[in-house]
Amino acid sequence: MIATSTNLVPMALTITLIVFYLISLGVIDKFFRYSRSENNRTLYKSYTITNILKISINKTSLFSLIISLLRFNSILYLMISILLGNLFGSDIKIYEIIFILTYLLLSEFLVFLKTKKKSEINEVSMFIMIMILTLVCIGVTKESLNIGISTKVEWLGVNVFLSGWEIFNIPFLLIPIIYILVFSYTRLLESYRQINIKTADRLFDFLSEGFLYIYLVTLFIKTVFGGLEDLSLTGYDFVLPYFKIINLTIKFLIISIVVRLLIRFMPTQNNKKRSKNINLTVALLLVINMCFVLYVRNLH
Amino acid sequence: MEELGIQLFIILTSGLSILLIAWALFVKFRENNFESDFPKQFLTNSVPNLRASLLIILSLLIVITLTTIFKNRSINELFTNENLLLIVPIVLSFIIVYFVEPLSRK
Repeated sequence: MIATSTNLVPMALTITLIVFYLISLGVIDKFFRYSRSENNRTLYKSYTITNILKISINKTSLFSLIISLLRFNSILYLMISILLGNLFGSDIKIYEIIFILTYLLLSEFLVFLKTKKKSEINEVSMFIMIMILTLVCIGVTKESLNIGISTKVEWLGVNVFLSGWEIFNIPFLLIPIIYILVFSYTRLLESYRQINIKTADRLFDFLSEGFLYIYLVTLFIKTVFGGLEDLSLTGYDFVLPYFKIINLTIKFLIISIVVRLLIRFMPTQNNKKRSKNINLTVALLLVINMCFVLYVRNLH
Repeated sequence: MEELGIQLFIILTSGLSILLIAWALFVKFRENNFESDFPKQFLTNSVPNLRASLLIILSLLIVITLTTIFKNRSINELFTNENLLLIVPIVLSFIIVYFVEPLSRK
């Protein structure tokens, strides 16, 4: 490990990476935006930097500011710890289901304290429920509480490219994962629009949503999308942290583009009866899929 | 993770957050302008059952967090920055739900 010789280099690299990811999320959104109508354009036209400069503390509610700052700090810690752990360290605590869920539950609870509409409460509770179920499903198929361990795909050879992608074992898990990422990205875009209100807590909400999205993508890359070492760029593998950074960035950008396109092309009308049937079918298929994987694993 | 400077980072960001809150308080007291705070309404006001259940959940959470943190730990390790990141929000949410909300209803 070349970069871990001093404390500051990994931290500076990680912060640069986070800023780069936040900017790239904005750029991706700009390129794949749904509507180019005049109405929508005016919503986005107000530039972030001028809005941040116009933020007024007098307009900000102290309660909201305190809640937003608490959430901002805990998510920042969560995200920094997973990025540092992935790129420069080898701490397995950050992949424990309990650890992840504690922080996610806390962050969603703080969102819940700020909600004013009942629909928002429903969204938050749905998100948390799907998050818990997804993490538990990953844990069950990996047969471990530490979901960061690497497993092999049962129907691929050992040294085949993509053989570490757990998602090929349980393809039905892709549906809740996509739901989580789409929900998080939508909330990020929504909070970006709300900077226009010019209160300080909205700015920290926006940053927290961005960090949460980056955290979730990194977590899923590590747990089901093959980790950070599988794309072999010949000749550069020996510089491990930098190789991992390139690997993470490529995967992050691809996943973000896919998620943004999904938001653009997904149907907006929600038929409750139909979605209930789909949810039941997906849950059933997921359970069958998991049982099958566990059966095959225990055969060996 | 400690060797990677994460503790320093937590102290830095939390310190800046506390400074920001203090500054906001200072500005509000100087101009004597608390307009944005009083009309603040939480949704839990309108649902008393929700508020009661929230209080129960939060007090349970405090007990569970404290016992898990106390377990197998010496007193020096109790107030590490990571633990504080969990304890402080939980205790503060309890205070908000219990004390501040009835005030904001007036």
